[in-house]
Amino acid sequence: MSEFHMQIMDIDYIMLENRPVIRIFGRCDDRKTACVLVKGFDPYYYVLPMHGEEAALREFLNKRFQDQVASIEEVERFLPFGYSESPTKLLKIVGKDPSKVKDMRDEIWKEGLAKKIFEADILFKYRYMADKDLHGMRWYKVTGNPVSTSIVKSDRTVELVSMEPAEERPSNLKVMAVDIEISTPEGLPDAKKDPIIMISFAFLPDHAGKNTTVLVAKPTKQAEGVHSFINEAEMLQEFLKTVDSYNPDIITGYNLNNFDMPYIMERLIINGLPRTIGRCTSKSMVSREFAGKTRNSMVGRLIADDYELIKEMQVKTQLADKGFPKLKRYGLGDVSKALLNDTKDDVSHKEIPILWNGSQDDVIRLAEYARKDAELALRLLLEKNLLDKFFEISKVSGVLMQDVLDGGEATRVENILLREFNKRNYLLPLKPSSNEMEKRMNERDALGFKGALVLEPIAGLHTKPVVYLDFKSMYPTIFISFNICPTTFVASESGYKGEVIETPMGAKFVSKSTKIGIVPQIVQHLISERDRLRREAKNTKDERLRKIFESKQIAVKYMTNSFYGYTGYVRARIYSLAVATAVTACGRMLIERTSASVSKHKDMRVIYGDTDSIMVEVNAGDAPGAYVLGTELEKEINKSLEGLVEIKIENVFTSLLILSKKRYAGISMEPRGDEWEEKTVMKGIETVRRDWCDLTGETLNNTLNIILREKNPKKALAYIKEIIIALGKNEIPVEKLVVTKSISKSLKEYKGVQPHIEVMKKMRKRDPSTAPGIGDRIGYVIVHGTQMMSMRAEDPDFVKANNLRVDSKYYIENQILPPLERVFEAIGISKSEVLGAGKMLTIMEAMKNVQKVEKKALGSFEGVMCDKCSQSYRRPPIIGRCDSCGGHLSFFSGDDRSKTANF
Amino acid sequence: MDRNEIVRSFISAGYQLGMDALQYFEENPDMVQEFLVLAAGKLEKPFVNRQTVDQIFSGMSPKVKVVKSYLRKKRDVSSGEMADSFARRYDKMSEILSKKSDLVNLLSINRIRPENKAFSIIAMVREVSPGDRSLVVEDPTGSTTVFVSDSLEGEFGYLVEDEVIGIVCDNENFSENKAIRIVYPDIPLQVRAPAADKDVTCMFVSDIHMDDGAFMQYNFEKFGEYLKKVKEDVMVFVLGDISSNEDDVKRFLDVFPANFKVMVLRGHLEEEKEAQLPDPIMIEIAGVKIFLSHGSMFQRYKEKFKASAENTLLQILKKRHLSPTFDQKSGLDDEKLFLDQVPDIAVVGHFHEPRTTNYKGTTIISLGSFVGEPVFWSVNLRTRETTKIDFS
Repeated sequence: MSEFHMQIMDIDYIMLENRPVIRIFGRCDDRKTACVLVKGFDPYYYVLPMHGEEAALREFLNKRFQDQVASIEEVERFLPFGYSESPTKLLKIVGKDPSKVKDMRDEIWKEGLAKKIFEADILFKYRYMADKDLHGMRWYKVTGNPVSTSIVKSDRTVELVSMEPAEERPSNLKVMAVDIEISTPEGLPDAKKDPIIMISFAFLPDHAGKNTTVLVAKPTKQAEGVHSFINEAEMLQEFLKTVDSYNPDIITGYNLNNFDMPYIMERLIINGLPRTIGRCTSKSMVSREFAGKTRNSMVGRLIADDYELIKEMQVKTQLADKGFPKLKRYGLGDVSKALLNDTKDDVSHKEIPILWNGSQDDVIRLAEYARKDAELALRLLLEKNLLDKFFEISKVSGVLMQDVLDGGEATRVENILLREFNKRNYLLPLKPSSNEMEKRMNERDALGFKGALVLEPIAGLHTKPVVYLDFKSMYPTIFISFNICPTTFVASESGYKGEVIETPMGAKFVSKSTKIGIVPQIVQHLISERDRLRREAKNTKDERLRKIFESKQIAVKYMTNSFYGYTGYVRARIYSLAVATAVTACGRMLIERTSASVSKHKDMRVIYGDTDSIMVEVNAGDAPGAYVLGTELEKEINKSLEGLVEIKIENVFTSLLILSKKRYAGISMEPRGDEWEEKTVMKGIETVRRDWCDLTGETLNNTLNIILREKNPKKALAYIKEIIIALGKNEIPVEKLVVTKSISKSLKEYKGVQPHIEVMKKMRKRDPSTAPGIGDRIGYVIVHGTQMMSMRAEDPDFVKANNLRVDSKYYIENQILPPLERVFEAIGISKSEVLGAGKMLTIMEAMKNVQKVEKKALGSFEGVMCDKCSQSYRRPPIIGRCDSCGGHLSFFSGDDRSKTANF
Repeated sequence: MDRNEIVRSFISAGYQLGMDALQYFEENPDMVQEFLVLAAGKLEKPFVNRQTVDQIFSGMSPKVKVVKSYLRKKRDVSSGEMADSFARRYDKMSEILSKKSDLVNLLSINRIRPENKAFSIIAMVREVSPGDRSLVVEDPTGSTTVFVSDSLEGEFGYLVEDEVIGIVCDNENFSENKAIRIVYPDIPLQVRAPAADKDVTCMFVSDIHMDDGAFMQYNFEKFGEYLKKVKEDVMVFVLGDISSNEDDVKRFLDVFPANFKVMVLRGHLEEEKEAQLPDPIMIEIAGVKIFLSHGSMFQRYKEKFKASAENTLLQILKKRHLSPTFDQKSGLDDEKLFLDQVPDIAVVGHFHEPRTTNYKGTTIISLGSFVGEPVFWSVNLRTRETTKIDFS
């Protein structure tokens, strides 16, 4: 008998002698890998037969699926929708092969023998995990009988005797970063044609005494940590051996999912090599494509793409002020520079084939470049703790790590629901069919769906202090306070006469004394757990532990907030329009009641409210004074809400600029002990964009600062006018006017005329050796001239060297003004006042640039083309003008143009 | 064609126009030439009123009313006019879509911001990119790219350029504009299907292909035998492709006994004079609207959708436009193709795929042929019952 502690990484199943065997993969606390085999667990589901058809159903199953049905038993369970005092009798059908459950389910429907079917589409691994209460990434004490098998790659393989939760302990996970290099003189790499020339690794912990290794696909001179091979096939064999011998738990890289992994897969196939990179000797790595993204997975290991994790952090958690600044570009070099203060080696994309085909020293230089890439990828994952939040989500929700990274919130919520429903003898419905979804949508059509309340803001600059009050976990608390749950819902036709809680739109739920809903129980547990974790984080002096508690409480917060969105999600199993509507109705009622409380005070007014927060302007001289008033208001509102939900004062804005709903900027003051922490808060206002030059971002930031800090819109306007005048006088440094765009395909694949492509062509003509190529990011400046805009794009160095004049009109109208327009609109300054002299220039230029067009109608045409910038379209845009420059359109056929066509 | 031109056309042909007929031709100027061709030598008196128009277009039957024809005469169009017509299409569809409660938090494209997690837009499709399953869409405020969620993989294949749709976006779980639901203008659900107040039987046949090597003579004879056994009056609509040979067409028409009133829709084989009705056309018989088309106008959509004929037509109905993707050579009037009036029955030939289905109260029929499955349908306009007639 063998006993050890293991952290669960992955679970799957295989069929052995026509029965499923579950495999649990993980890493033990003695650093060995383990695989636990579980026999004797079968798939099952539930059927509520049509009235009087139970016998017919049994007969049908026994005849049609005699080889697949292990047993049929009568059981009692509660159905998921609507309050019921007693459970319902159903049949529990136990199968022998998880992959046949779907067929059985479909056939039962076709025969018309089932009124309802439950849980016949739960993935077998999650069925097992739910029944045994196993969670991804948690620790378990395993007792098992060692077995010898060649089906898994594991240090120890046992057949399960028992598995119990164990105390959490530090992980021993092994992490390997991978990066590949391809040599393509022209065009983008094509996995079908272009071989991999190098594969670099970075390891933690070390592998064979090394923390990095580079494999090279041709004979090369000796160098530290560089191994050369005759050709790609040999190199790939070594790649496979390295993965096997190192046996990582996590494989990472930058853009691994969409580039390196699929590329490696394709090259393995072409070279006739196996793709069993995971911990199973027979199952290959799987690569799936949807919506232009590739998802890769392998048995027993986690694939974690740094690029995707960083974008997720940026977009979803907006950690701009927590060490994740918003960047214009997300290349490995840019991200490493911003987050690690380190960057890639200085080798450009087009230098790669030159070095590869150069001297031995050149090849080694390229190998060092490749090595650095792998190192940076590993460092990003580990130093920035990119996976911490997801580890905790896996532990809380039970979902396995790869599914946490690849799946959505619905998967996580449903996992929790499955467990909690089953524990209380409730069943989960199937995922909705397309007919069911159509029905749900029609229901929404008929009954309507009102979402959260967003009050119309009082737009403009608020110079009096504004108190920001926030409802603590509003939606989760609403679930609890009103006992809202599909299992407590009282349908009007149910005839239930007991005590109920009625929500603002009329939906009723049984009282808590009758039965506490499952969703409220889940949410209550999560809220309590989060409070506990926050207390632990506050009380601990150990920085490492504090970070762990922080990650855990963030994960719990995400899970808690996911429940509301889930109930209104039409693809959800437990979709309930009544529940989702009830929750938002309660939210709206709370905001309205709060707003009414505030309006009783003559010296206060609500200037904005959004879903679960409210902004109140108060009559105070400073932030501390406003905070005191805000605290009194908080007490008053909480009293009026009678404990339903709690509101809390978060901070005071000493100045606040509201542009529109969900768009504002302000100077926030928040008490920290005896001190006040000041920071600039911006919501919904971008200050960094890829298609902006630096001057744009800088001007916007400075303008906002002047408005907010100096509370002087006129001064801000004067500042912008200075910028416009400086532009007109060519006094702005060229570096600040550079717009960048990447070259993602070959020249011939680009349709139409584009500024960055025109610059590339010019640079190639001038000096082919230094001109940028595919994969490079190219900067350009628009200079003064009469040609269309794209043709006036120029290399910044050339502009400086030749003292060219920039096109001030372009920068004023297309760069500086658009982001500022809303800002000035909100503070009551008209666009014409801002434009001033710039506008006159625009009209005159436009008149000069309109091309002459033919008058004769074209018999047939290829499309329409802009008279100003020559952008072509298959048919006119709805606005009737060119999208890019607002120019008029003419029909064109070859070189012919006309304002009319005959058709 | 303006009013004066219409009146002059009739005067030159020797007819005087009544006000009701003039109004009809002002609304359907492309029907003027049709009428003059069909009426040649048939009118006893030189006076044309609305009843005369209906009689001519319906052959011998006074019951068939032409609701709408979709043909367009070539004329000079400015780029501005063309843009206006798309803008009008957008407005019409937008009016329908804005009432759909699925489209929560409707935004115009220029107001989409990164913090918008769940929002909807109403937009015209400019470009469909299957490679990354994305759409370039536009509204009067701008254009943007929307990526279609993997859950809508099947639906993506039905999206076409220039149609106007509602898009529900969910950026909470995804980055960039991710469509999780497509909302079509769609036809309304008919709670009570319009029906005639007495028994009127319409039969639909198509694609005879008498001059084709694969023509099924034996089955055609069975068809002839069947016709002889029918005793009641029947209106037959032949949706084209009889034969390119005049004698064949005559032979075909002779197969029908006297109790059959035959109307021929133009397919791509007949000479103009044999066809009485332009293709496509919407007619009304005893209060029931029937859309008829040979079907070749839907060919490109069927290829794109990789769908059956009746499913193709179903998708077209959902788009509320008979041919959303602009095609300068089609000869169809884009603005008329908007389905402001929804057919109760929609029939096509051309595909040789005999199927029928019902969508929200509209009966959709795709006819067979005499070079494949010789299966056709008749419909009782009072009971709205469809009867399959199989000559195989």
